[in-house]
Amino acid sequence: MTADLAQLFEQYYASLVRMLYRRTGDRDRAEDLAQETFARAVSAPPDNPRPWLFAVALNLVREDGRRAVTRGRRLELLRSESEGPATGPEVDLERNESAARVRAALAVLNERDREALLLKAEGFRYDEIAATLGLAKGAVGTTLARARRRLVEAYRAQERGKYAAS
Amino acid sequence: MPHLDEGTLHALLDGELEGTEVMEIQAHLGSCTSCGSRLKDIREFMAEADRLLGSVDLSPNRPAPASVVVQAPEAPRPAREAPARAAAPKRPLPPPDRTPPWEEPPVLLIPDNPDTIELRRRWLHGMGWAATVAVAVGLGFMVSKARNGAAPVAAGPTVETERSQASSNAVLSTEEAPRPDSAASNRSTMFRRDSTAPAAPRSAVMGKTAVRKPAKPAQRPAPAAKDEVTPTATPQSPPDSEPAESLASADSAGSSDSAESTDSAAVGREDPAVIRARAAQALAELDRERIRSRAAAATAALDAQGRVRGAQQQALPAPPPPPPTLEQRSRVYLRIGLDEAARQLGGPAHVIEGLNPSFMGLAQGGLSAGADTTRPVVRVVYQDSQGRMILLDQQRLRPGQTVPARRSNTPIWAMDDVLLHLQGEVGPEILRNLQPRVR
Repeated sequence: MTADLAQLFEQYYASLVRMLYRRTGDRDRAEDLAQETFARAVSAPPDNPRPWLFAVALNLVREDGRRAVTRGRRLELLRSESEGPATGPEVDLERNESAARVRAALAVLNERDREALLLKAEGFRYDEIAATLGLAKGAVGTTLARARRRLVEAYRAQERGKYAAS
Repeated sequence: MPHLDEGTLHALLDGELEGTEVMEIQAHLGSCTSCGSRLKDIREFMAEADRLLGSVDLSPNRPAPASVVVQAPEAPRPAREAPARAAAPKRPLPPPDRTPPWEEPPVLLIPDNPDTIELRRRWLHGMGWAATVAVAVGLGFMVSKARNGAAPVAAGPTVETERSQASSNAVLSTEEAPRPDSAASNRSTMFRRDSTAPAAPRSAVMGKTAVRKPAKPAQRPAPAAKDEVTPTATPQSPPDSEPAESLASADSAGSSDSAESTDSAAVGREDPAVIRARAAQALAELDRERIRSRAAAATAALDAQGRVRGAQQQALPAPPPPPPTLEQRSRVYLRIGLDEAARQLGGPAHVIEGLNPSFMGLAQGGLSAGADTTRPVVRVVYQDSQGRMILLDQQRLRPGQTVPARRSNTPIWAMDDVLLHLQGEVGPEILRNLQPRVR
């Protein structure tokens, strides 16, 4: 059991944190949620671990978001980066702005589209996405098509707005 | 066939469709410019979306979270050492030779049994009190030494007189003789200053004291002076340099000893805030030791499990390689649709009537008997009910090219300026029976 958990941890922790970071825009929160996810895996070892872990993590994000709303705290999808490798201030600024715009574009998507897109970015197959999100496998292609189109269009709209403003 | 919906095109580009679906879609795409153009757009959208998501990634240089990832533990030290270190602050700290935490492999810490934690907490509490007592005694000793080095002139004769009268079985007894009040307050001030001063000046004071000792009237042997420098670190010293800890409970050792013990305790009471800070520091050190030892145990357990797993995996025979796919067996290097096949052959591709092709693609000309080896052949791949592969190779005949004389059992013939060749994993008899069904 411990060995299995350690294996799961090695295999999926980084991917889970990355997905949660893209979803929340807050690395500390992403790490907290990933740890909570693994803590739940300790008490209820999953049969099909990857969809299980990501489904639990996404549920935790939703619950966490609801709690944050009731406390009157804004979700920080658009928060700019505060840390990163020392690549020079200009490169950092450029990259942070770009990442913030991508997260803003992600925020435009509805919950299901966004989650499908984030899972696909972690290498999930359609049947795994369907299992994680409770979708029919045949609907995954359509969901991803809509999500990708909206993401790119929202990002491009921001780019246009940025250049129009400057 | 109606136009392809966007979800199907995404599934196609994501590689999520079956072979027959792919063939149908490719056939449609070959004839429908509208869908072909949409496919191109969708491919761009997908690449753009992937690029955007890839730009939101974790910064690689950020250290991993402390609660999940722990540093590689140092060699565990006995917990008894912590109070001793707290009582002897002049000892240099060990060099920071740890590797950065983000270069360490992650380790998952699993919660302990709460009962064990409670027991450990009680033990730590006991150790904390022991550390407090040790700190008080050690500080008292050091302050007395520092004072002796700083203001020996005024108190000198008295000290020497007292020293000559005192029993010689305690180091502190030579230093902690009764002093005038002014000297006591002076000592108090020095204690506070000493407690906050950096280690180097303190060492200097100690060094000075140690040097001064032999210059004084030779009332005591040299080894005792040496022992004074590290009183608490030499518990096995000879009786004449008994450690300071034992003095705290040696009230009945004699009037002089008694006075000194009281003096030591008074030093401890002089500034409880400092003592508490020292004790807290010792407790924190104990906590760190505990975490390190737990992390070491967890890491060792994981390593051991990993080795066992690795050994088990090595012990198992290597799994047989997966059977080759039909695409690999047919040696088609590029799948094509009906339109591309028609372009290659100068007319519609030939098929076997009554059989459903698995897919169609291009293969090297050299793989088909009689074909021009400089050009590819269009290969239509079928499977019979038992999964055996049947290949219908086709190549457009160039002017002057002739159908070669039969060199094998497989049928080779020409139809509409196209060289045809039936081969596969079935017997030649079946192939010959299929030949008339090629249209």
